[in-house]
Amino acid sequence: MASDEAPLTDAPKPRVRGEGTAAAAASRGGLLSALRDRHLGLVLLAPSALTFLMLLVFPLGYGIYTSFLQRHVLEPEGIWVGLDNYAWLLGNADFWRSLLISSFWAGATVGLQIILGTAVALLLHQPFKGRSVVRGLVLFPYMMPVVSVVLIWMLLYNALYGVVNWLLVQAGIIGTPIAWLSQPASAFWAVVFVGVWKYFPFVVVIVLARLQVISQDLYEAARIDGASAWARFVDITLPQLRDVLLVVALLRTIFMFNNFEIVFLLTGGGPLQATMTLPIMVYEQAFGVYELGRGSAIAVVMFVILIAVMSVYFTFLRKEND
Amino acid sequence: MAGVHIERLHKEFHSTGSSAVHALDDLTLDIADGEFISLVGPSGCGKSTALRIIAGLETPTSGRILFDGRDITALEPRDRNIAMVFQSYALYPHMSVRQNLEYGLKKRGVPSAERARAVASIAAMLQIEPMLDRRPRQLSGGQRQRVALGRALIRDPEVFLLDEPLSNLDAKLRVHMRAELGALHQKLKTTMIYVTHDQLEAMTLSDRIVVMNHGVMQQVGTPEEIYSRPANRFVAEFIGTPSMNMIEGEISTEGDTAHFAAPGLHLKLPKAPAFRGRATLGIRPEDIALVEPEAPGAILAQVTVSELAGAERYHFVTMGASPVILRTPATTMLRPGESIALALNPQHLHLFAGVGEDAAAMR
Amino acid sequence: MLRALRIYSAVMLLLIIVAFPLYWMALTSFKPQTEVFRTPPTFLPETWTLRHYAELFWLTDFGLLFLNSLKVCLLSTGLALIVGSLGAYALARFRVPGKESYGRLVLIAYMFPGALLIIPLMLLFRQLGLTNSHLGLSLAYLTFSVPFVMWVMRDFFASVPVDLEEAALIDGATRLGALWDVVLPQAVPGLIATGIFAFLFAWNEYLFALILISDEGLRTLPPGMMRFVSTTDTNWGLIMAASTLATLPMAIAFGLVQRYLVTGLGAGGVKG
Repeated sequence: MASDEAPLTDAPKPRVRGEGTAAAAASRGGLLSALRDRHLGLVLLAPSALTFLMLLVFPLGYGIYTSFLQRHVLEPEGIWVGLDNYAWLLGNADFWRSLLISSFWAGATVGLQIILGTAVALLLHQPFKGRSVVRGLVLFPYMMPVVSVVLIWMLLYNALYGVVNWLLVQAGIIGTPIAWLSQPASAFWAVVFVGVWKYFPFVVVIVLARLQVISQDLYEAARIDGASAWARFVDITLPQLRDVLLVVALLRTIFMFNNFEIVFLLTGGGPLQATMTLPIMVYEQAFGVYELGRGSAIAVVMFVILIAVMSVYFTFLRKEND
Repeated sequence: MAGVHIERLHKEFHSTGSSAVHALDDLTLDIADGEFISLVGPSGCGKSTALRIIAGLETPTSGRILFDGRDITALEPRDRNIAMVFQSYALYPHMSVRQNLEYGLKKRGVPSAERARAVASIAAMLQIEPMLDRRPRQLSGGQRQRVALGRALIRDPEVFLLDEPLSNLDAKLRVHMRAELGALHQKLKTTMIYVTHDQLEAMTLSDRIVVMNHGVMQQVGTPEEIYSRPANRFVAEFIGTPSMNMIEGEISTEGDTAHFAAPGLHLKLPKAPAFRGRATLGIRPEDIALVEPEAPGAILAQVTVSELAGAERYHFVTMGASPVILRTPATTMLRPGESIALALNPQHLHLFAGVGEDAAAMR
Repeated sequence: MLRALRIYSAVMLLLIIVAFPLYWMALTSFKPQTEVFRTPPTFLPETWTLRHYAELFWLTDFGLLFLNSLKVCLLSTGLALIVGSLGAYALARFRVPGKESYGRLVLIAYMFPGALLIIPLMLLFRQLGLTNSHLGLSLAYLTFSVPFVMWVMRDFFASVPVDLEEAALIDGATRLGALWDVVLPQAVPGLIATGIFAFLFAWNEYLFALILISDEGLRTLPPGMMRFVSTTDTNWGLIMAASTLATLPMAIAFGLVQRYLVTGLGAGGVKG
C-alpha cells in the first residue's frame, strides 16, 4: 500500500442531479418531509397556474365559445348559431385568400430571416475588431418598439421624399419614385422586407450561440484531412446547424404567421387587401365591423394551425431527446 | 457528539416505467461516539445514499436512524445538528468566506459577537484568516476545502458527514489534506462519517471501514481486518492497489492434503478447507516472491511487461494460464519474455468458495 | 489581408442595413421641418434643431404616454418576475405530478398570438372592469411575460448546483430560506436579463394597448405614437423624435447590461 496515485478502482461518481434530490424524494418516499416538499412545489406553482388559468385557458375557452355565437352591436350578448361562423368562413373567398397571404408572408419572411440570419451569424463568428459592439448593434431592430420601426420605414418608403426612392432613382434602378406601401404589387414585398429587417437578429443570436459550441477539434481534424474552407462549411458547420435551424424555422414560422403589428401598422392589410393576413382579418372582423363571433372563428382556426405546428415541434424535440 | 445507530435502512428508487432499484438494501450499522468510519465502494454502491439519508437530504423507504438513542429519521436536516462537507464544497459563491462560515450560526440565531468569536477561532485553527473577506472563487482548491471544513466545524455538530471531500483536489494536495483531516479528527474526536470511492483514503483515515456494493454492505471492520481478511472476493479486489490477484480453479482433496488446481497451476494448500469444488484463489501482489527455479514448490511463470512505480515495480506475468501481478522493489529488473519462478506466501492465501464477485471467503 | 478586407466589407454592409434606418430616425428628429422634405435629402442636418423634442413635450401628450407606459410595464414586469420565477423554481427543483405537461403548456402559452386572445380578453376585462385600467393592461401582458420568465428561469434555476441548497438546509435553512439566501442571489443575472426582456416586450406591445385602453389619459406609448401620424399632420421630425425617445429604454438597457441580455436571448429563444 505505497501508492498515492488516483485509485484504479473507479472514477469519481457521476452526479445526476437534474431533479434535485429532495424533489426526487417527494416522488419516492412516503414520509412527512417528502409530502411537505411536494406541497411546497405546488404552492410555488400556484400563482403561475392561476395566471395561465385566468388569462390563457379561460379566455381561450371563452374565445372558442364566442366563435359559436353571432355577436355584434345588435346582439351584444350573442346568440348561439352553432357552426354558422365556420360555414361563413369556409365559404368566404377572403378567408382563403388571407390564409394564403399569411402563409406566403410567413414563408417569405422566415426563409429570408434564416438565410440572412445564418449568414450574419457566420460573419459575426469570425474574429474581427469591434465584433462585440457589432453583435450588440445587430440586436437593435429586434428589440426596438414595433411602432418606432414602422414609423421609420414609413418615412424611408415615402413616395415623395423617402430616402429609399431617392437612392434607387440615383442608382438608376427605378426611373421614378414608387409608392411602395400603396401599390398592391410592391406592398407585400415592402412589408416582407421590414419583417425580415426587424426579426432576423433572432436567428443571428440562436445560430451564433450554436456556432460557439461546435468543437474546434472538428475543424482542425478536417483541416488535417485536407478539407477546403467550403468543404469544412458544408461538411461540419451545416450539419451541426441543421437541428437548430429547424427549431428556429419552426418558432419563427409560428411567430411570423401570428404577427399582427408590422403588417397592420404599415398597410392596414391593404392596398386592396394585398397584405390582409389572418390576424388582421381577426382584427377587422372583431373591431372593424364588430363581428366578434366571426373574428373568434378565425382566431380558433389560427389556434388549430398553431397547435399543429407546435406538435411537429414537440415531436422533433422528443426525437432529439431520444 | 453522538453515536449513530442505523437500523435496517432501505432505499428504493423508482425510475419511470421500470421496477424499483435498491439503492440501499437493509443497512444496519452502529457507529460509536467519536468514531471515524468510512463508507467505501464503487459508484452507485449506495454509500452516498446512506450518507444523504443520515443528513436528512433523502428520505429512506424504510428503516430508522438514531443519534444517541433519539430517533431522528423524520427530522429535517436543520433539526439534526449535523454538518456536512460536500464533494463540490458547495460554498455560497456570493458570500465572503466569513459569511460562508457564519451562515449556519446566523440561521440558528447566534448573536453577532459570538459569531465573530467562533469565526476567528475556526479561521485560526484552519489558517484561513487572511482569506476571510475573499469570495470562494478567489481561493485555491485547497483553501476552498478548508473553508468547507470550517463551515462544518464551526457549529460543533454532533455528527460530521463528509461526502468525497478530497476528490476534487489534485493528487499532492489530496495527500496533504488527508493527513490534516486525520489530525483534525484526533483533536476533535467528533463522530465522522466519511464517504469515498478511494479505498486508500478509507484505509489511512478510518477507525473502521464499511465496504459496500450494489446497495449491500459487504464487510465492516478495521482497515487491517478488511485488508488482511476480506469477507468476499469483491472486498478483496476492491481494497488494495494493485488489486489482489484472482485465480479461478478447483479445490480437491487427496487424503489429508488439499490441492488447488487451475490451468497450468497446481498448488498444495497449507491446511484443508471445508470446501471442495469450484473456488477462487486470491493472493496480493506483495505476497508473491521471486525464487530459484529449483526451490521446492516453485511455480514457473513468464514476464509480460514491467512497470516502474516509484520505489517499487509491478510485473505483469503469466503464471500457468493466469495473469498475475507481482510487486517487487524497484531494483528488481525483469525482461519481457523472461521465464521466472514464483512462490506464493502460504500464510497469505485467500480462498473464496465459488467464482464471481460474491464468492465468500473460506476461513 | 484579403480575408480581413472581405470580413470588414461584409461588416460594413451589415452595419448599413441595420444601422442606417436607425441613423435616419435620429437624424430626421434633429432636422428642421423644411429640411425633412427636401430633395435631395441631407445625410447630415444643415441646421441642427431640438425643436421637435421641445414640441413633443409642450404640444403633445408624449410625456403622459411615456409615463403611462413606464407604469404599466414596470408593474407587469414585477408581477411576471415574481409569479414566473416561483413557478420556474418549482419546475426546476420539485417533482410535482404533471410537471412535464405543465412545462409544455408554458411553451404553448409563450407562443400564443395576441390576435387569438384579444377578443375574449377584451370581453372578460370589460365585465371585470379591467378595461381602461393600467392594472388590466399589466395583467394582459402577463400572458406572454409569465411564460417567458418561466421558460428562461427554469433553466437558470436548474443550473444552480443542488449542493448549495443542500448545504444551506444542513446549515439550518428552511426550503424557502435556502431559495432566498442561496438560490436567488445566484439567479440575479438571469432575473435581470429576463426582467429586461419582459419589460421590453410590454413596452413594445401594440394590440392589447390599443384595444384595452381607450381613455386618452390612460393611453400608453405605442398606440399613442401611431396617432401622431394623423394628429400632427405627419410632422416627421416630431414623429421621429418620439420614435427615438421610445427606443431609449432599450438603448439604456443595452448600454448597462448587454452581457446579460445576450445570456437571456441565448437561454430561451425569445418571443417576437
